[in-house]
Amino acid sequence: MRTIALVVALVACSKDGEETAAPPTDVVQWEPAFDTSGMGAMSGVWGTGPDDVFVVGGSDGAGEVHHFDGSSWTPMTVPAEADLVVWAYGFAPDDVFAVGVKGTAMHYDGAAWTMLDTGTTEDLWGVFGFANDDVWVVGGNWGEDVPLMLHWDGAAFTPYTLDPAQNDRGATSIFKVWGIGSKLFAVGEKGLIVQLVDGDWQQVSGGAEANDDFVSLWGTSEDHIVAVGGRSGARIAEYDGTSWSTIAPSGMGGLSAVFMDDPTQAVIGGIYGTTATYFPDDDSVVEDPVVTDFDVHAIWGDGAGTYYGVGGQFFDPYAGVVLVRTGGS
Amino acid sequence: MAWTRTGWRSGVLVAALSAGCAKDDSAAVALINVGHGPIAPDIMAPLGDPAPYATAEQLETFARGKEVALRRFEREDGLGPAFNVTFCAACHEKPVTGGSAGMYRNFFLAATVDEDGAYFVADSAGTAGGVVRMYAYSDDVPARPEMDPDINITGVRNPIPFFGVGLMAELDEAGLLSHEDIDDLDGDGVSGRANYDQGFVGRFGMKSQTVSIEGFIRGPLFNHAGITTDPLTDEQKARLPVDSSGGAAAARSVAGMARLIDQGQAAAPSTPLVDDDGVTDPELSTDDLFDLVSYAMLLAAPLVDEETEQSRRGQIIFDDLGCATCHVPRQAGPRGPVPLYSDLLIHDMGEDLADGIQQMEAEGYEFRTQPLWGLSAVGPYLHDGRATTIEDAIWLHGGEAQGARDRFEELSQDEVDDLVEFLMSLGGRDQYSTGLIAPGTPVPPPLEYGGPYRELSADELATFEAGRETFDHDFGVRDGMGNPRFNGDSCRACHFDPVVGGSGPSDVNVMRHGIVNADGQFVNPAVGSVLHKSTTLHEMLNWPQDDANVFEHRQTPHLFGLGLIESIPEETLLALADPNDDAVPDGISGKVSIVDGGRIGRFGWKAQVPTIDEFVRDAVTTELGMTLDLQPGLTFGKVQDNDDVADPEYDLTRTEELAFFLEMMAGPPRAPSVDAEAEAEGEVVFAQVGCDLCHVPVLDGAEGPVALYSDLLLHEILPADHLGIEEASAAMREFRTAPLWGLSATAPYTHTGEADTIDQAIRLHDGEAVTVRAAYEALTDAQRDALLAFLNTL
Repeated sequence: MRTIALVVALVACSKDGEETAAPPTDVVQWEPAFDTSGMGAMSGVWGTGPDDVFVVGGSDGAGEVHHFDGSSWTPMTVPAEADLVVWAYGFAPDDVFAVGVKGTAMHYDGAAWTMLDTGTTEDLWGVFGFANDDVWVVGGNWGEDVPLMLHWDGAAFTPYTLDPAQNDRGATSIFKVWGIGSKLFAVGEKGLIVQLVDGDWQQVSGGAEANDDFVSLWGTSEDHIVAVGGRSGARIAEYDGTSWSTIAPSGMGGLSAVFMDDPTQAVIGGIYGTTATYFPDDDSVVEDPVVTDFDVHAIWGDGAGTYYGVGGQFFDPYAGVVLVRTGGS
Repeated sequence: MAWTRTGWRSGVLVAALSAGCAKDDSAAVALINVGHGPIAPDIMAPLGDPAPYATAEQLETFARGKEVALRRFEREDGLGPAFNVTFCAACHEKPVTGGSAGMYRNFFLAATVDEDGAYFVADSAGTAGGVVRMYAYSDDVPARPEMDPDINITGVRNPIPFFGVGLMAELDEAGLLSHEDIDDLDGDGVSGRANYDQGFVGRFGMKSQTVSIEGFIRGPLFNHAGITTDPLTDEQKARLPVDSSGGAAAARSVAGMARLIDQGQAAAPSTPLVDDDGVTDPELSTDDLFDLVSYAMLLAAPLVDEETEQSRRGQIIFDDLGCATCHVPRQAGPRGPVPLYSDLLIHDMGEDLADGIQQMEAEGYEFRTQPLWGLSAVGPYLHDGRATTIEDAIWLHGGEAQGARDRFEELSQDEVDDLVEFLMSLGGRDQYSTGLIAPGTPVPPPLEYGGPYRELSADELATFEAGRETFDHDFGVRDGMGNPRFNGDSCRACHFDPVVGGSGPSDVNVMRHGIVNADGQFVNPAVGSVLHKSTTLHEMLNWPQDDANVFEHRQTPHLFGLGLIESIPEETLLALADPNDDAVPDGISGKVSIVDGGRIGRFGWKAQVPTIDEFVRDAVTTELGMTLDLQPGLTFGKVQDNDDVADPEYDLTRTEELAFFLEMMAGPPRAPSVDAEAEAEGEVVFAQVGCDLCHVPVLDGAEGPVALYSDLLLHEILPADHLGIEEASAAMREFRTAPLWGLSATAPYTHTGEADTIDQAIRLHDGEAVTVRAAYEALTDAQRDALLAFLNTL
């Protein structure tokens, strides 16, 4: 199903509840947030609010972090050992974790990024935690061996290995991990979805269409979680609190990015600059005008109506883009 | 002017005619003589030629790209480690480079559907898009790569021609989507829907599963040959004959209207491909890839025939049957009407054709409407080549096409003939061959590659030529070929280097397998030691027996001079034998191969076949899967099988003509001298090193000396711990001394074909040859170069 609707007439509400007219035209627009010329590919974005946004990425052998303080973007100094950084998640402006390829993991304490010893040289694709002493990192070299999961207890990483019963599709990578309340899910190659139950990861079904990689997931509550993926064709999976179901929207390319701050819609992104809004209630997708050829790898919203999308080319010559969305709120 | 049953299409013709063209515009005149309407100028040419619109610069690129298509990838180029083919044109050769291929180039796709109903393509020695790779040269992967036992979906694909793909790439999405009728709103029983690749309307592949030509080339290069590539740069994409630059963003952002996509050529896979074969990636440069993609894009649309009364009648029948509903005669391209005869949409083709293979959004029963241009010369037909003739293909239509097929069934034979004539007129007829030898190709002169070893009488020449046609002839399912298994659909399928009758690259190796039990004894699997490459059963992968634990390649040796070899008296071979290494205790034994009936074997890697007649019978049955007549005194080959085709499937005349062709083919001619002094020195070194102990330069035959460089005896030439195949009287490590004549023109080498060079082949010698090998390795560089120079003259 493909839905085309670009111009959204909005009805906004003033603080006192009085309806006010929406801006004359509020078309979803993405535009570059800053000039990324000369920088590497941009892979992840996360922050604590409008004046504290971290974008991570880099190139082969060189990690990058760029910070937005509400007015300007500044490159941050990262350890020389940091390879391309893929994903970031944190708990406060001075408590941010980031992971990347070849075992890269680091922590920002508000003053500096410092490397964390992961004990692995495998690629790490995702990080999420409920607290800074309860952090999960996921990854695994794509196409090799088995996925990698690491748990950080505040002091050290402990590896967790999925056995075949937890990974009967033979996925070799887990790409992202995310949770809320009592739910914690990780998603990965070959449509793998695993859930942490009583301290152990269990494979759960995504349905017949869950037959391609899931790359990312986000949600707003224990019963509103969306995962996206697919390589050549999109996959969108929704968790309703009990089970996952997956659709394959016809005509839509693969997806990599999803962010939700509203249970009725998810902002999604994917290959060839795709950005869109997915509406779980009717499984419709409204696509945005495309402004970049780079794959959009991650999307995050600052809670104040601004959304960032990042992406890039993850091979030489590495290049990337950081987009900011205006309109369409 | 009541000359039609389909008035509105007549109108198209009238309009086209009345549009008129200058008499001196011959191309244009030809174009409007087609009943389905005008065709864009300068897009058609004989199959394999560049499009007439190509610029001089593009023609240069076309030539370079064709060279890339013909380039044989070797292991040091990055071939494999697992592979199906060693070059692009292996699968795109019929009737000329850029076309299709016979069933011997069929390949398998495999997948698993799990308990959730989720469909996953199978790996094959790594990720290969569901393609099953049939060969490997690797320490980590068996010669026939293992497959996941959970595979429960398999399909077969016959290679697809590339003619006119650039024109297909130029078609805009809106035009393609205009033919969609997903819910069959017009009630004609035919729906049709687009398939999508990365969000763009797909158009290439049996299921329109690929949108970009770059993707359609990079994928198979990796999946079938293990050749890695980087994506083309933006600058290169902009220079392609079909501009693939600008990117999806530009295409999708027209005036704020999303999804207005002109075409998705920019949507080629954007990531580099890598493998771990030890060769630096990318294994094909982007410059070469650019040339290859350009070549494909510039391949002309097949040149249609002038319309005749019969083809016109056939065209009307075509329309009345409803064929044109899916086989849309014209697509509107930027250059004008494109005579594609396809909507490029996917359709339900019915239960009998369904194979369960899903690609992108296409279900297992859905297939793209195959373009009909060039139809006459690119058979066999349908996705797996099961239709030997055009009529077979029509009969096998089902699903949405059932109505048209049923109406076809009601036609008179004359009407069928008219319809087939029309289809044959859609291009390629003049280039049709029963195999790959182009029509009218003369027999090479005596003593040249592929020619006879002496002057032939007129009758002999006719028989020789008939035998060559039989050798080259592609047989199909309706001929009884391959029931149920086969390696080739013709003799030429494996024997074509450097000409028909020659050797074959490693992608036509025969796979042998067996069981070495706990006692170290060799046991033949129930199906025999040949593990066939293909099948006509459509639903299986030619799995090896569960307990098979030994797999061994068999490279295809050339067949030049077989008659001369056969003329060497048995006494000569017996006199050379030294089975216990006591006659001449030099560490080299050599034993005569004794085969069925106590006869002396002299043909095959293990000298397992005694005569040319038996060789023919063995090959026809084992490699082609066909039955033969009984021939008194001959024991090889099968005379009956259990398919629906009457036995014998390969008649006696063909058998005898084929045997005559093989008997009379000349031995390989010596290569022209390049450095006579070095070659002469090399010949001396050849003897000094001891090569001639087994590779005896000359044996006397009935017609005179035969310079085959072999004693035709069995020798142990592999390491003591090697486990292989036993056959006839040859033990696991024993092989016949391979004749060296023709060496320079018949790579690769050794029984596995893993040696791409003569030097590599020599260094792989072991067993009895270990001393000789050591002597070779001890040579100075100059001596070694001289020896190789000599060998290259053979």
